[in-house]
Amino acid sequence: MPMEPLTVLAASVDRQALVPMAAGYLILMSALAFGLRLLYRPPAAQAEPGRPSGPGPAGGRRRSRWAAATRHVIGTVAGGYLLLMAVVVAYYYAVARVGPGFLQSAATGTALLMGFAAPVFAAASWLAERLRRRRGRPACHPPPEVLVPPRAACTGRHPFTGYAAWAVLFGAVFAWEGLALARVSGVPSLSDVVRVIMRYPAGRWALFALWLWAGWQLFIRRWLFLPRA
Amino acid sequence: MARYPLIGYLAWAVLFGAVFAWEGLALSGVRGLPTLHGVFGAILRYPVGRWALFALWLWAGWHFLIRGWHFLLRA
Repeated sequence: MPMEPLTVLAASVDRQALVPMAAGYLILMSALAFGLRLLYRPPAAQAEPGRPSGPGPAGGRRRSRWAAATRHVIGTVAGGYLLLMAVVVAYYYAVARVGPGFLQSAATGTALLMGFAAPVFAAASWLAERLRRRRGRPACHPPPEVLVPPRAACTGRHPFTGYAAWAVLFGAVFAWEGLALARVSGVPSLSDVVRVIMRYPAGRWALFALWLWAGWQLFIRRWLFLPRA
Repeated sequence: MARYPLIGYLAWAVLFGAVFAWEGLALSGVRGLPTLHGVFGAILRYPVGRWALFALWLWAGWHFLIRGWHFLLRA
């Protein structure tokens, strides 16, 4: 085989796989950096994100914790879904036309997943609320009428190096995945590892449960049952 | 399915082991170490961060659980 097509093929693989992965890491780290900047700003200069600018609870606008959390979750779901679709469409048209049905699969597959997750999250939240009431509210829990509580005394702030260590750990995971995607011999990608696990029904269920658990912890439990970090 | 040497899979196990070990240290209260909960908390504090993380979570579900598989059935 001539050298030129091989080079073109390798460049195409690199572009298809490495560009989105590197972009993903950069987006995640930028989000972390921006969040830390907000967290470390002096309290006087800090406007609480997501806090309505209108009259607060003292002004008579009291909303139930559940209604506020529902609005919050709907905003996150809508924004996140639209963002993912925008990225997928941009990837398809600007980076690689991955094949027929890619865009349709992205739109319907993610909607299907959200359809599966919604009743599970609702049931988990109902159960957690029952347990919370039975045990009493935790000491650091925000009052029900507060949608996004101010930086509470119980919020932990750590030295920057602690967060940097996490960035390095995630960087190592992304770098290893990058080596695999660059076709370095003997390095399986995360998809290969997941494929091995998903060969077995128990592995598939375990991964699906892990994915659901992570989603509930990140996007539901945090806003309903935990003080904001 | 492509097959790889065991060492390649072990490297992944070590990487995820390091993540869990670091989280364990943070949870056990070692000074100066934020938990993963705290790190994601910093990202989830503002709407764009929440959208980015939700998009990442949704993409992971689609990529690993849906694409190329008969969902939750034998492949």
